[in-house]
Order: sequence, then structure tokens, then C-alpha cells
Amino acid sequence: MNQSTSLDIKDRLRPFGLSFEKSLSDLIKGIRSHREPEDQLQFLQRSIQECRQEVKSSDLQIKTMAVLKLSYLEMYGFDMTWSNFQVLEIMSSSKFQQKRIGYLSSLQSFRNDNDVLMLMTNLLKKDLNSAKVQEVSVALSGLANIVSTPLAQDITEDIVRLLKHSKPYVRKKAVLTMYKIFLKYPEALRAHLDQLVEKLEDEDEAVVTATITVFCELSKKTPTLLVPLAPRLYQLLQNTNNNWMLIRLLKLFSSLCLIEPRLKQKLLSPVLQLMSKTKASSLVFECVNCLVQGDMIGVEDYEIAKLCLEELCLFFNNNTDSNLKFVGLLAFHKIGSINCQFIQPYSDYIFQFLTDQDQTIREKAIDLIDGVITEDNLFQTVKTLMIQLIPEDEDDSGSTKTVLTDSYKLSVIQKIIHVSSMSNYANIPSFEWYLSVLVDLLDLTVLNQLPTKTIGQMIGSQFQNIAIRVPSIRKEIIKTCVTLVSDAKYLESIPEVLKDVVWILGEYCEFIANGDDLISSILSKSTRLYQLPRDVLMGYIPALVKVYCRFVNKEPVDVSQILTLTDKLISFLEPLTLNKDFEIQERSLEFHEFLKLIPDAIDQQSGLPVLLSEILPSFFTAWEITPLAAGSQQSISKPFDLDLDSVINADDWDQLRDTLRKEDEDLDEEGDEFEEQLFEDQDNFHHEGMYSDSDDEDLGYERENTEDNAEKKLRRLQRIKDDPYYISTDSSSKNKTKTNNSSNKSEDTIESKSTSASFNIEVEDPSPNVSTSKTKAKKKKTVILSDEIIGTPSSIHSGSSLATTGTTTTTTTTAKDNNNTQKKKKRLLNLDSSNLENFSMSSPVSEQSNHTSTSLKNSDEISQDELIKMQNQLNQTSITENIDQQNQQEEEEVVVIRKKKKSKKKTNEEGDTKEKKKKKKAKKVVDVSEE
Amino acid sequence: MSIKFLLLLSKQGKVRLSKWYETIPSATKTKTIKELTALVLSRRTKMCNISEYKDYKVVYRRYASLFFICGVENDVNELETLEIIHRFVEIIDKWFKNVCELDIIFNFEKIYQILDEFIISGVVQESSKREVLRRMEMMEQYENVDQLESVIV
Repeated sequence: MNQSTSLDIKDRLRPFGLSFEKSLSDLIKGIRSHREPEDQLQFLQRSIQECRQEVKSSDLQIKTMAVLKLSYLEMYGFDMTWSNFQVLEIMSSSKFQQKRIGYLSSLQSFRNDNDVLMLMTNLLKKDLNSAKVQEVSVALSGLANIVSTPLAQDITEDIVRLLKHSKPYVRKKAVLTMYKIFLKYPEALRAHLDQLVEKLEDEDEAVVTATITVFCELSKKTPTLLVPLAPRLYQLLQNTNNNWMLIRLLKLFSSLCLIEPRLKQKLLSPVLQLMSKTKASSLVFECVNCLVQGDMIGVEDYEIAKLCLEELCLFFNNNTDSNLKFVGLLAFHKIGSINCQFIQPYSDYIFQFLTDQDQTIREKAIDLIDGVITEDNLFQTVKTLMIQLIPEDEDDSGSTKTVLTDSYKLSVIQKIIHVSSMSNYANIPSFEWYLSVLVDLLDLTVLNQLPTKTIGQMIGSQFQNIAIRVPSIRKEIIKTCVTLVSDAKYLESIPEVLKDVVWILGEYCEFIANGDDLISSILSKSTRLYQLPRDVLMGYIPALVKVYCRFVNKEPVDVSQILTLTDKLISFLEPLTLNKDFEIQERSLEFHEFLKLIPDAIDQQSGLPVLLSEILPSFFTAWEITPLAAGSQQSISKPFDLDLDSVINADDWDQLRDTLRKEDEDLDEEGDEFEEQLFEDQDNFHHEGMYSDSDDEDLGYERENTEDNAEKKLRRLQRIKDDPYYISTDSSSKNKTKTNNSSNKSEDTIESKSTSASFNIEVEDPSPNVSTSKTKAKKKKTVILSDEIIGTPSSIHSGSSLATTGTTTTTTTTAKDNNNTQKKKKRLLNLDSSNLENFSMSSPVSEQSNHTSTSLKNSDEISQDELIKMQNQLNQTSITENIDQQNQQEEEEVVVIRKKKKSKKKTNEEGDTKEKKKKKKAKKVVDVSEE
Repeated sequence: MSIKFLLLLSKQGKVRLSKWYETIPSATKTKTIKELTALVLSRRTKMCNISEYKDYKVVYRRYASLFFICGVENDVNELETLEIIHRFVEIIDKWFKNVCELDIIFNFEKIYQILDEFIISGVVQESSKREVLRRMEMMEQYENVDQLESVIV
């Protein structure tokens, strides 16, 4: 039998339900029976080949089957756009079954393919005007999915006609499709919004709900247009008890409230009523959302906030549904963002969720900590968070314990540091404790094998920050730093932290009695040091010289000791002078050359040469370092004769650049910005998160040596005892201050142990007289230095100035008020313009308020009625503009109130802060080598 | 457009249905599906059904061996989305009379059609289960009549 006759027979058998091609279920069964991935792929490819053939068939039924199979295969990731025209053919089939499949496939395969869509227009028009409801319905569903701008333009009239269809089912679909049309073709909004508004009065509730849904979506883009509808919507809100509709209405109102503040008053009580009345938690949640988003809860509205929060607490109390917990916490977050005092009474819930089984909920709870953290609960909170970081025992891994991801652990560490350093360390109970927390965090980072780079830098800058800000803790920090720097563990696993650690050692080396031992101990690992990241290695060079400088200037002078130490340093710096990193090379070269002069100088005269007693110290001790507000550097004026643009030695420039590029492509600009980084770090500490600190805190805090603290210390010491790398810290007893009762005890134990060690690094108090008077003054309160501000405040980044105290006066705050309101205004405008963008992309004038005039131009024949309507609309828009202005004014007032609080706080703090001359520090923060 | 897309994933990570309410390139679709599969399958049963993904949210729910996953915009009410998913499951359950995964596989075009009657351009068009089923019934009838006619003619 030849090919043609067999086809003929098949064709004749088909009407009896016999088919010879693979049906959809054959295909699916086939896929399921080919389990091996390779097998399956082959089968799929074969099937696609078959479909390619079948699609070309003249029999519509076969074509339809093939297209249906292709749509199925599309889910496996096979492209089917090549069959677009065949799909179109099926869509125009007179048989509903085929048409339906055609429409279905079109949704999967048509992607803004303009050729096809153009061909589709007529087909759609035909189906939309069909007498069969089913065909209209399918066309509407299809249209909602694949509408494009030209298509929308052509088809709008037909859809509008369907808005008046006799069947509510069609009206409803038409209403929803209108939204898609508006999106693609905003001009339609101008002409047909009124027809849609009429649908709010439709007799069928589903149509009304659909209309509200469309308005709800529209209100996100162009709320001003919908304000006139408020009375009708309000009526609906009060009369309906359809939760779906209520949720939409609430969303709609929350958008409208933002531009029509008068609505807030009117809505507040019905929304609150609804919230307390309903049993549906989704509706309760929506009510809270509406109140928050609609800006109905002011900073002072404690009562309303409480009502909302009480409702949300029911989410937490009544059941164990974690979804409710999650959304509850989300809502807490929103309410807390208005004023964190609202949520403070509910802090117990938040702390409870920190240990929830579900990591997602923990994350949300962690987000909230900022708002509820106080001096009293910081200790407990940090403890709770730290415990989570302790890795589980291997045996437990099979149990149902929550597995925490690395990113979660990272965020825990960040959060611990953030809450501790918040508002200039105001909540820290004791800095000794915080210091031990930081060290523990380092250990935990290593244990958990977290990415060390960021954490190392973060913790390092914490060390640096408290060393600078809290003079009374410096001695403790030096002890810790000596431990860290001598412990090979940290050098191996988390070297990034050492950058700041060695910086501290160098900067506060007056606390180190036997600097030579420290230097030798550091240099004994020099092979490893050379492999450190550049910015860490860079820190070592000046730090070592600083310690050296301090040591050689100590009484009694031991010339031979100085010479050996000098030798050691020289041999350490030697290889670095050839380092390919400029910064390292320059730093090491400078000191290398300088140190090479020392032996000669010592030979020439007895006693300490001037080079060591005068010149070297002058490099480092000119000014004391103090914290600086971020952005201060920008306010230092540039020397007028400084020329950074013209090329020095232009001839060699190109050559140099080439060499540079070749030699080190991976070395970036990091290092040159040493000081900038410092500023950035400080900025980080004052990053305030979502809450502004509205508590008025004093700068000084009682120092408590809690029992826990002592206990922790002992535990740490126990651990350290057996560590061969540990170098004991020993405070010289002659200069002892009253602060170290607890540490004395521990030091005894170590001293006995450490006799076997080759050296001790002694930590001492540099100038006993001064320090005793200082400690007396600070016995009760730990002084925390806060940022100082340089230059005119207006030039300072506003974000940083919020957190700082110091030189700001009332005049400057008012100046900032203006800034702020200006910003607010700008933002409001921005919002509007972006809405406009959405609304009238295609209109040349592109302005909502002007839209009447544009339509005036466009239409030639305007009836009297229309003119009147337009005038009305114009009036309305001008009204809303007025309202906008009012809104802004109100906002301005709020800002002023907030600022006042701030300035009050500032004056409080001013008394406690030490004022320093600005230029001093700017110079000092710059690293020594640059001087 | 509050719902961006709706996915049906099997426990093994196979796509059973994917409906996108916004036009995005197919490469992005594939990537999203892949990432969401990993995300959803890795979550434990007791964890909450909402997760943040990129700049929007993913709300999902597991029914037997199937995950129903919705990508929604950020301002969407998560609890409502869960209800939408549940309602959709109820509808297909009624339609197939005790639905199972195989029903969904072999009648995938019906699932799409039901979905079209329930959700249109990312928003719920009909909250009443009965109404959705009634409309489906109507469509089916018309389809059958049509077929019958074709045989008779």
C-alpha cells in the first residue's frame, strides 16, 4: 500500500474517533515511561519533530492536537514561537474546542510578536462581537494576557461595548480586561474612565468587585483621578461584607489617603471597627496595612497603634501558624517604622521569635530588634543571638533542629554588632563585656566557616572604634589585641581583622611595656605576614614602627637591645621595599631608609640619638585621634594651589601606566583610601537602620562589672590557658588602677602558667598621674566620644548629622529643616511624575492635570455637555493640587517637631562631649606615613 | 497586576503548570522556575509559606505532592494570596472530583482553562467557587455540542 492511500484511509476513519497520531496522553505517557534523562530528551525531541510535521497538516484536528502537545512541551522548556501562525489558524477555527486550544496556546507562545498580534486583531474583533458568550469569554481571557499597545488601540471600543453586555459574566471580564488596556494604552483612560465608573453601580456584585479591583490597581499609578469616587467607595466599604471586595477597597483607600488627607479622618473609625469585628485574619492584616500605608497612624498616635498591635498579637497567641507569625512581624515592622516606641511594649514577642523554629521568622524578628533594644535587654539579646551561632554537635544533625544558613548567621553577626554600636554605643552595659563578645564572634566566625573577609573587617573596625571612642577601655583592648596578634589561629583564618588590631597596637602602644617582645613575636611569623592581603600588611608597617618608637624611648636606654630590634625591623622591611604594591613599597621604603640611619647615629653619640628621641616620635604623636563625623573631610577646603589634574612627568606617564596595568590588575584602589575607609566605618556605626533614636540618652553610662562578665572572662581564660600561642597580658602593678579587680585575679593564674613561655607582653599605664586623675573622673561613667563635625553643617551629609552631637546649634538644625522639607517636596513631586509616566506615556503633553486641554485639541467636535464635564474635571484637579500643598505643609510641621526633639537631645549631649579642634583630627586620621 | 505568575511544581521539581501574568523573556522564566524550585523544595513543612525572592514575594502552599507557587508584588496581602491558592485548589478538586497529580498532568489544558475563569490578568475575577465551576460547565457543554454537530454534519 502506498503512502497516499494509507493517508486516505486514515482520513476516512477519523470521524469515527480513530486517530493515528500520538494524542496528548500518549505523549505524556511516553514522557513518563522514558525515565532516564537521556532517553527522555531523545523522546521529547522525536515528539517535537512529529509535531512539526503534524502542525503542517491540512486537517485542523491534527493541527490542534499538535499545537496542544507543543503547549505541553513548552513546560519542559521547548520553544514554540515558530508555530505562531498555525496557532492563529486554530484560533480562527469555527469549532469551539479548537478555538479554545488555540487561545490557550497563544498565551504560551505569543510574546509581543507584533506580526502575529496584528493578524490577530480581526480575529479578536470577530470573537468579541460573537453572539456566543463562550467565544466572547475566551477572547477576553486571551486578550487580557497578550494585549499590546497597537492591539489595545484597535480593540478598546469593542471592550467598552462589552461593558454594557447583558450577561454579568461578560461585563465582569470586560471590566478586568480594561485594566490591561489602560496599562498599554493610557489614552483610553481619558475617554473611557467614566464608563468604568458607572460599573460601580452595577447590579451584579461580582462586576462591582471587578471594577474596584481595577480601580485598586489604577490607584497605585494615578490616585488623583480616583479621588472623586471616594464617597461611593466609602458607601461600599460600609455596606458590603464580601471580604475580597473589602480587601481591595482598603488597598484602594490607602492609596487615596496619601493624596487626599481629609479621607484619613473619615476612614479611621470604620477601618478600626472592621478590624475589631472581622474574624478573617487576612482582613485584619489588610486593615493594619491600610492604616499604615494610608499614613493614618501618626508619630504620636499611641492609641491607634496599640489597637493594631493588640490585634496582631492575637495572630501570635491563638495558634501556631507560622504564616500568621510572619505577616504579624511584617506589620510590626511597618508600625515600628513610624515610631519604634509603639512596639517597645511588645518586645517580649520579638525576643521570643528570635529562637523560633523557622529561620524566616527569626530573620523578621532580627529586623525588629533595632526598635526594641534598650540598655536593659541588650545583654540578653546578644546572648540569645550568640548561642545560635554555636555549631550543633554532629550527633544532633539528624534531629529536627533548624538548619541555619550562612547568610542568616552572617546577618546575626551583623545585627549583634549593629545593636551594640547603635546610637554611639549607648546601650552597652560594659565595654569589657563587649570586647569579649567581639572576640567570641571572631572565634564563632572561624568555627562556622563563614566568609571571613567582611566579618573580619567589621569586627576589626569595631575594635578600632571603641579604642578611639572609649579611652577607659584602651588598656583592655590592647590586651586583647596582643592576644589576637600573637595567636597564629587568627593570622591563618581571619587575617582581615588584624588590620585594625595592629593599628590599635601601634596607636596606643603607650600601654605596652615591652614592645621589643611584641615586635619579635610578630616578626617571628614574618613569612606568613608577607602573604597577607595588602591592606592588612600595609597596616603592619607603621604599627610596628610606632611600637618600636615607643620602646626605644623608654628608660633605661639599652643600646644593644635597640640595635638588635632595629636590625630585625630592617630585615623585615627589606623585602617589602620591592613589593609591587605602591602603598606597601612606599611605607616600607620610608621606614627602611630611616631605620638604616639608626646604627650610625647610635655609634656617633652616647645615649639616645635625636633621631630616635625627637624625630621619630614627632611622626606619630603630634595630635590625638578623635572620632570624626562622616563627610567631614569634604568640608576641608582644598588648598588653592593644589593641582591634581596636570600630569607630572608626562613623558614617562604612558609607560608607567602600561607597566601598572600589566603588573597588577587585581590590586585596586582600596589602599589609597585608607582614611576614607575610616570615615566609612564610622558612618556604618551611625547607620541607624529603620528607627531614628528618639530616646534621649546620656553619653555617659554606668560601668557595671556584672557577674556574668567575670564568669565569661574566667571561662575564656580557661580556654586560653592551654593554648601554646597565647601570650599572657600583665598589667604592671605599680600603675594599677582601680578598674581591674577581676582581671588581677585572672592574671595571677596566667602568670604561673606562662613562665614557660619565652616572653610576656606587659601592658602598662603610660602616664600614671594623668591617668589616675582621669580614672577618677570616669569611675562612674564611661566616656564615649562622639563624632565631631567640621565646617558648615549644611555641607555635611544629612544622614550622618542625625546621629551625631557636638557643634550643631539651633540655627543649623533649622537650616537642616529646610533641607529636609525640600527633600520631602521633591520626593512628592517625583512620585507624581512617575505616576504620570505610567499614565500617559503616549501623550505628548504628558500631564494629568492638563489632560482636558489635550483632549480639547484632539477632538474637533465637542458637545456642550462635554465642555462642562471637562471644566468640572479641571476644577477637581486644581482642588487636589491645593490638597497636595496642604499635605506638604503638614509634613513640614511634622519634620519641625521631630527636629526639635533632636536638637534638645543634642544640647543634652553637648555637655558631656569633649570638643576638639577640627583640623587636628583630620590630619591625624590620615595615616602616619603620609606626614 | 498583583499576581505575577502561578506555578505548579511536583515534589520532584517537575513543572506541572506555569502561568505568567506579565511578559518576560523565556530565559528569565526558566531561571525563575529553577531558583524557585530550589527555594521551595528546600523549605521544611513547618516553615512559613512566604518568602522574599528578588524584589517581590513568593507565596506557596503544598497540597499532597504538589506545590502551588505564586509570585506576588510586595504590597500584596500574603494571607489573601494563600486564600487564593487554596480556593484554586478547591475548585480543581471539585472539578475533577478528588483531584490528584495525574489529573493535572493529563488534563493540563483544563487546568489552564479553570485558571482563566478564576484569575484574569493577575487578579481574582470570580471569588465564588460555584460560579467558576458553572462557567466551566458552560464551556464544556458548548464544546461538546460543537463536536456533536461536526460529527452529524
